[in-house]
Amino acid sequence: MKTMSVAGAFWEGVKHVFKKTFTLKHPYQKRELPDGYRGRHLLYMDRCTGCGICAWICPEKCITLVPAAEEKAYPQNPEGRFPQYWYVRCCFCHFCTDYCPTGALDYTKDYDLAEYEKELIIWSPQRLSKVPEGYEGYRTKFHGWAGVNHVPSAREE
Amino acid sequence: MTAEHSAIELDIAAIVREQLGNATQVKVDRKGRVSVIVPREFARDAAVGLQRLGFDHAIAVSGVDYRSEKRIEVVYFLSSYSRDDLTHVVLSLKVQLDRENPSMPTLTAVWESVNFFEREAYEMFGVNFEGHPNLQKLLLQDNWDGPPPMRKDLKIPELA
Amino acid sequence: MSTLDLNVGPQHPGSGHMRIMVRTDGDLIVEATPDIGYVHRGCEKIAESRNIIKNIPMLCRPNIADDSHLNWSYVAPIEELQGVEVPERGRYIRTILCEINRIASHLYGMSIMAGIFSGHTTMYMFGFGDRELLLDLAEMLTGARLTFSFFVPGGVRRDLPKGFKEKLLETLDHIERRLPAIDRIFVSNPVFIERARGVGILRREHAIRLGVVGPVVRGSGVRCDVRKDAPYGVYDNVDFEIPALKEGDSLSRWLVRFEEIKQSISILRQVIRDIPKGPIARKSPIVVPKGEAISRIESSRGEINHYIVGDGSDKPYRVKMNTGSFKNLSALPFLLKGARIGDMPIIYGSLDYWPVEADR
Repeated sequence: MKTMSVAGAFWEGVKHVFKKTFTLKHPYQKRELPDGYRGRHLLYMDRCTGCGICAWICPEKCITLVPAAEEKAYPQNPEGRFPQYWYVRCCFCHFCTDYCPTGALDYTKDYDLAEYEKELIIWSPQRLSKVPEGYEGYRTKFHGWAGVNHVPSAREE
Repeated sequence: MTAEHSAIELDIAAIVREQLGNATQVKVDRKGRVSVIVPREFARDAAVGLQRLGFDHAIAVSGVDYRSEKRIEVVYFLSSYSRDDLTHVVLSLKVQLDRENPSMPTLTAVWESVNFFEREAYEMFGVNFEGHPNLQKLLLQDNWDGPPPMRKDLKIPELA
Repeated sequence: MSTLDLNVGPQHPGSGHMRIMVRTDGDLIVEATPDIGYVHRGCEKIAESRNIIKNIPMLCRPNIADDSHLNWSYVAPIEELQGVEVPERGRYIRTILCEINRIASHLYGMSIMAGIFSGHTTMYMFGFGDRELLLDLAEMLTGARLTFSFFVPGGVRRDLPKGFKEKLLETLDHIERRLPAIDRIFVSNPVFIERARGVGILRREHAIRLGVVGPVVRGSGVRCDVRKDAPYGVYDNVDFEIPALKEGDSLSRWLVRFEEIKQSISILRQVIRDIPKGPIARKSPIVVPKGEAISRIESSRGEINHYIVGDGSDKPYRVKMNTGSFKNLSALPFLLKGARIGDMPIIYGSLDYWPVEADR
């Protein structure tokens, strides 16, 4: 019967008045992000050899290798060149992370990268190597496909 | 090439060769893929023959610019809605055109779905489809006056 | 008879940018011409100047709600040309992500048609709220909510994380519990049925003649689906049905999507139960050998084809994409002719046209 079907639809809507909403009141309530979330990159300067594969594979050409002015010399990186990221162009595909042959790049959960000044959106190698608070390291726990390396996966039961 | 392919592709190849004659080259590339190469004069008859055979679904039309070989190829990909044994086959009907003046009769009367596909090939490669009901630009902006963009002559700047 | 030319302009609520030039006589549409190309970016031309891995994020962007199908359709011809076979676990993971994406994309399309284009936001909120759980699942697997770029030639990029199976089954149970609510408010509701039943009828012979694909053709009675006609991935190992309704109106196209969600839930349950152990990817060089290949993948809007011509270098010589929305475009002027202005959003919504996918 038509009236019964319309009444059923109304009743379904009325039931929702008494249900809890699942809206998150951002920024006061934040979502729990999973491990391996594709946020900004983390650079381990003691692993980077300056090979440039990350810059070569980047679809948006947002990575350039720059000499990082450091008193500490990194013996594995003879020319002292490290990647610098221009985050305006980055599409967060993380092919650079997966293709790095030494595992010098990693995933973090930082996604709030907006800046007021244009120059600050270019992240120098030193800024990239600052470990975020409470970060345990994704690659140290999980290994993925890792492009060139083919590190076997050590997950899932 | 022959042992892995199921009988239906070889049957189709044999029937097509028989119906369309010597002007066409028919090849079974792999399972479910047959290609037929025709010169432009024969394109319309080949299309009608293939439709009668049961290929009533034109899934795509693509142009390819072989600049070094001085030809433009327009490829019609065909499959079937109605014949159950042909639904897994994709037949590529390749029409080879001269690069200086690419022009061929339209196949809109055979498969109505190629209307928009041929318009795209027209604006991207400069192929003139004779008899098309509405040959106008589809995707490019109205005041585009450069060469057909998908040809290899037009080089786009590398992202710096 | 004097007619009025209306411009259903490039900006729409609930849809991407495309223009329909409509000529009306009072309330009846006499002629409708689509004008597309507002979001054309030249993907195919750009793809010729980048190597095959760099192309993956760009060629997945045309349809962000349904990204994994575009991705699979791009890497499949490259694998065929290279002769690389994806290991079985990799194919199962690909199927899982694709089916999650199919449910999410159908919820999107159904919400827009029964919600925004009907003039209210109830279905929109229902559909998008449930879709969030699916995006959370995809985020757990790939790291990103919408544009995954997860498949590479040779396999997938990551393995299933710990706890994924439980979360997937929990999400599927939740969606199954929500489907009767959608049924009561929309499928059985005479108000919605009045709006969509008998509107934009596409008969079987016209559907075949116009060459439409996807839920549009299945709503007109043609049981055509690449997953059954030319199975790829693991679709020949799972049991599922292809829903097809014969009325051919907007409501049938909507109901086909509703039924497909149920079938996708069943496919996911079978796949996660049967997934084998093993490697997830094989090594594959960054080169496209000489030759050409075409792929056929069933996305949520229809069949996608990628035609790749290789010349032996690391860049493809020609990439041609043909998506479901572009094929369904020929149905739009045909269906709008003779319809009323008030039915235009429902007809447009039932085709589930995604302008960026059609324009590339």
